[in-house]
Amino acid sequence: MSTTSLDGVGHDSAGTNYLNAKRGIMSWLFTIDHKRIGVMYLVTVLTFFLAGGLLALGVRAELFTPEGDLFSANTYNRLFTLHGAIMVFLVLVPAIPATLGNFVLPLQLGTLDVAFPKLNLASFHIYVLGACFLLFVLITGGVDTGWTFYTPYSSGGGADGHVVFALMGAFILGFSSILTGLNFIVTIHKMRAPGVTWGRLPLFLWAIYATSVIQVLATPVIAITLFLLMFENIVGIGIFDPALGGDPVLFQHFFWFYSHPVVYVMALPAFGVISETVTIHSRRHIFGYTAIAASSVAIAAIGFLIWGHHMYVSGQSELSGTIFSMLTFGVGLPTAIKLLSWIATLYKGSIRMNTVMLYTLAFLWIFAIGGLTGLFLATLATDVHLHDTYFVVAHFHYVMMGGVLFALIAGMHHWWPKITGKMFNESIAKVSWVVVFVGYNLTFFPQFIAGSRGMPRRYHQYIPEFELWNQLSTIGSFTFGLGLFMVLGYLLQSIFKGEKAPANPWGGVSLEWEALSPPVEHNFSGPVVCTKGPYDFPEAVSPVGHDH
Amino acid sequence: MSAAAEHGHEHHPPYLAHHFFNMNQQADSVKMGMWLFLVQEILFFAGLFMAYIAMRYIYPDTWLAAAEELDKVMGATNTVVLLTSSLTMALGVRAAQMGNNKAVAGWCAATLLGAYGFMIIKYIEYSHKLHVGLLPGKFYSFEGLEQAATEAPQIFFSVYFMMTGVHGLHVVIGIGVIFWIMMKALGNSFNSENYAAVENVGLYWHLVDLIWIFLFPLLYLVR
Amino acid sequence: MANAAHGAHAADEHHDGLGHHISPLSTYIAVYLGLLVLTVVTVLVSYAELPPAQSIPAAVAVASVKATLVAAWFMHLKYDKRFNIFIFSAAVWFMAVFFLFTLFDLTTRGTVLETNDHHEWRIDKEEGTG
Repeated sequence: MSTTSLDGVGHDSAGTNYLNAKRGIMSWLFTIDHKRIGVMYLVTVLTFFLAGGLLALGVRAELFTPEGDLFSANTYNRLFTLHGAIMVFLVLVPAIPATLGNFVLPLQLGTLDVAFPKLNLASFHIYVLGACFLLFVLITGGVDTGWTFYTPYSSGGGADGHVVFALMGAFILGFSSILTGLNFIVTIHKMRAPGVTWGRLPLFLWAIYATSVIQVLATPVIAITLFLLMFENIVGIGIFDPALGGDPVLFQHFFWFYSHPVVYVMALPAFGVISETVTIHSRRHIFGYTAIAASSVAIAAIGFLIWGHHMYVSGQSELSGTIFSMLTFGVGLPTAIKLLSWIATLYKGSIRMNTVMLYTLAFLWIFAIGGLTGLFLATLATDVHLHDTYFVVAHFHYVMMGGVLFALIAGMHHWWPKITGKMFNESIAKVSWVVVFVGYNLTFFPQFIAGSRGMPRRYHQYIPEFELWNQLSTIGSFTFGLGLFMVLGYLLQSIFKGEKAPANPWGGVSLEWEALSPPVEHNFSGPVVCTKGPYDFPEAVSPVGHDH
Repeated sequence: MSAAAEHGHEHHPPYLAHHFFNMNQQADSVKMGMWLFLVQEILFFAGLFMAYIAMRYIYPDTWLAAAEELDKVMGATNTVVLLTSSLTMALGVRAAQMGNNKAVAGWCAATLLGAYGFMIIKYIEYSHKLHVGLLPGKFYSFEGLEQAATEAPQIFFSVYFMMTGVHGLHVVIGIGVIFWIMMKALGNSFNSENYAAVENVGLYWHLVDLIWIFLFPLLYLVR
Repeated sequence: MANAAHGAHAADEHHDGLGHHISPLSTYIAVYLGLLVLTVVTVLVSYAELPPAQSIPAAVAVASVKATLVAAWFMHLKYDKRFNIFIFSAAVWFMAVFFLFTLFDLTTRGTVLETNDHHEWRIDKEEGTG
């Protein structure tokens, strides 16, 4: 990386950048510019997040009182099914890789675009096509199988709604994910600018790389699973449905072989974002670059070996359960290495308590809780009691929602100046953070308590002893929602009324900060050569232009 | 970009995409992408093989009895047909490496003959099964297997049709892309540095062959 | 037409315009004949009428040899970048993990609680397990 940052705001001599270089909706829908594709993904992902979030508020509203008085049991089942399916398939999987990943990857590599720009566009359109199927299911009343589609209920055993359409939607979405992963792997291998060695790759890209490997290896298995389930429904092939001679536990093996690694597709990019934000906003070189890079790969690899921890009480053999439990502890090791390395990075750092750092610190707290509670679930003996209780719900919302979402928000704020060329209002952002953080923890922490005391999940009514925890959780969820709307509000406002952002507001040294804010269409105005590591900050540098 | 400057001349033929520096980078990237695509194909078919393994483990006697209803001669013929088409495809890639467009088109045509041959034999097999009721799941109506000795024979045929059906779909897609390559060759598109498309279609076709290499003994030669 | 002069590599009879290896015709024919022979072997092995615990590994072993021939020579992996071989092997490894772990579950279901002939647990309160 060159030692001088670019001055000035986001336009080249002709005054154009990737946002205004071409105009009209067709120039967006048929773009092959990775930055525009990333922005389109961001808009659609956040829209689906809103849809999934509203469904969640419906669930939480029902659970405010012990009686099932707001919705019928059947409607409630459809609410949480669609909430889960939308959140997992439409939001969390593309949340960071397809949005921030698409935008930032070529910039951090110092190159023009991804390896296959047209394939990148195709990935986006395939995503939208898959989403259309799920939206159709949503509009026509949904399905009530749970997002996990367990047989025999989902194979013609009485499930309501358009199960086959939902399966088709998820099947199509899988291809979007595979093609994006394929694109990113080739890009990282073949399109690095001179000087960007593997040892100088920003940790965000190591994370994206490991994620992409999982996407390519695991997603086809869910594809064939959903495909077989479709035929189980239509033809009665008899592989998963016991009434037809099949094995329902076999379905769960098929399902979780993908669905466990996919949580690392969600989490690894989040870890990548945190590696970027925790360094730049504390002006410290990352503690343990090699450990963090290697742990990303280790998590991806180990993540493929442990899917049976979702199936301890399913009917799989006890011996299998025991071995899966032992292996599951293994994945905690590289994850803990990351967490401890980030904390060590902050130590004696020059920490800037801006919005990005607040979300980063929130992530560390939240992911610690999420990860540690995972240990109770990994342990076979305790999981027998906790399985299908709210403890599980709280655990995965802590890692998925708290982990991935907070990292997404941190990343959005961190790269907001680069993407939009505008700065957001720090004061409003910090106030919103308080609402978001309090609301989030109030929503999900009580669920650990309710769950460990026995409250089952996926029930629209419960016994009165759990009422307090549910009321706290519901109040928290609406607070959280309010906070997120505040975030949306000031971010949108910044697009129209925000100050113009300099090229390098945070003083970063990775290559994306050499591009203008927003970048020109071809990313850089000339050839790029990398001469430093991504966290080799000069001593006590002050960021150009703004003091954040 | 700096790498092009090293070459000493701005060589950017029309078949080199603007975001690549040179043909080697482009060809290597496209081939790596193709291998990654093949990886996901392998994992896709892995699910079908897993279903086979599980169901065969649960119903071993059914497998022995039901597999007898498959025509081994047709299966073996199809194996030879696909292996031969793999050879012709590989020779087509070789011709492309040598810049011989006419030969590429010819070898593609030969490969297509093999692919069509495969589909015709498949059609004969499938129509026979349709005729006698050897069909998957709820459509199974064959009376010829001793029901007392075997249970759930329809599951064998579910697995058979899912595996050969998905494989057959991939053969049809293969026919499409090989035809496309043949047309490009007839238009003299390829030369000894620009042949990646032929190579990658070849890789796809070899994978289709690879899958059949495993399908054939597992479905047809159960004893 | 060959525009090899443009590339950084000159094509000769053993290398193309990108500098990649071109296998001689004899190699392809030899591999093809090997594949045909192995197909015959596959059929002969099935006539040995081994029990499934042996006939399946035997069939898979022969098929794997054929697959190796196709991958190494027809798909050119023998002369290709090592990373592509790694990619292919990774797919096979993870496929094997899927098979082995799932099969491990299926085959060990009867070790603690009894199962019936189809490896399912049936707990009938009146008649006890099994």
